[in-house]
Amino acid sequence: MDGAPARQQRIDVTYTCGECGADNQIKPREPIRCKDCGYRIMYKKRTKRMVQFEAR
Amino acid sequence: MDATAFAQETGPTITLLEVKDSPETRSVSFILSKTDLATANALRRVMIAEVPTMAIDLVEFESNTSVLTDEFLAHRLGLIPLNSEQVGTITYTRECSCQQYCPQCSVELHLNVRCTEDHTREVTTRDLVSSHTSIAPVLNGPNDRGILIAKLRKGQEINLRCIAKKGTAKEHAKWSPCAGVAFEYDPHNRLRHTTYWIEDDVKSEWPVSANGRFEPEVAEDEPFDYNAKPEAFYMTVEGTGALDPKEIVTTGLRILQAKLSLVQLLLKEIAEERGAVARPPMNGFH
Repeated sequence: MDGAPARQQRIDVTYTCGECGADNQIKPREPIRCKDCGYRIMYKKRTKRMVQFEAR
Repeated sequence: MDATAFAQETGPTITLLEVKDSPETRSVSFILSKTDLATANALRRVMIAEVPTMAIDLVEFESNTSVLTDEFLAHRLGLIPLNSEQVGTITYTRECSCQQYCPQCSVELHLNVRCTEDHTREVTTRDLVSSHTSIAPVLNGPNDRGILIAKLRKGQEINLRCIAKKGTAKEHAKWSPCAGVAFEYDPHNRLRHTTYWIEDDVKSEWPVSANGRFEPEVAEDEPFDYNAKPEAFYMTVEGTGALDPKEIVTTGLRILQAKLSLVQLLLKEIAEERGAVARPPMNGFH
């Protein structure tokens, strides 16, 4: 959106734990593990952007 | 084709049988006669697939926390009949001068519902807010609860923007103004275009339709006329509410007429180019 994406400035992606529902910020190459309960299944959040569909 | 062909003694005739105009059914029944099977069927097909209406074609989701997926909801929204009496004032998006869509070729509708109560919130077409004065979801009076779109639990919400566009059912069935079109000819099976599956007796196992009263019964000893052609076509047009059934029939006829005159014009041009010998003019209906 605002020019070229900055290489260094990585925004951490927030995932939701499949067990306790806590929000987790996981950086690349980090173990996928909930900081609260240790569960290893995470769900990505829905985009905050608008999504368009054809009504067909 | 001569526009007065309909008025001529020899031209196709329409005999109106019944007009139903209640919130339950809006339909017209008529007999189309003095024309051939192909023409009658062409009218049926044009009414179903080529009469333009308005329908939701694009859905932009801001949020959807309901149990239904975005594409599921988008598909449901597309199938909602919109009042299309004003469809003539809208242009097709493909013919419009705008880049994507604009007020001349589209109508915007908003749906923003959030469930805050403990009981289930029903999202219906009554929650759809149109930016147009008349192009809006069809409602049959103040007691109509609208068409159910989704159900929400406490805390769930749907917030979206719909773009309704003009179109025809040959592109997608959602644009069809017809809910059902009944088409019948030869109710006594005089022409033997159909073979009935029977166990013992045709008459008791296959009751004649209500249109049988307009034609004489086939006598037991009558010889089969293999040259006979169907002459009367019994049609009932039932609308979705998008257009008045009468409007569907008249627009259908106008579209059919326009298509036939285009063919005639082009054939004439070809004939003139080749300097062909003069032939009797084509009527388009025979």
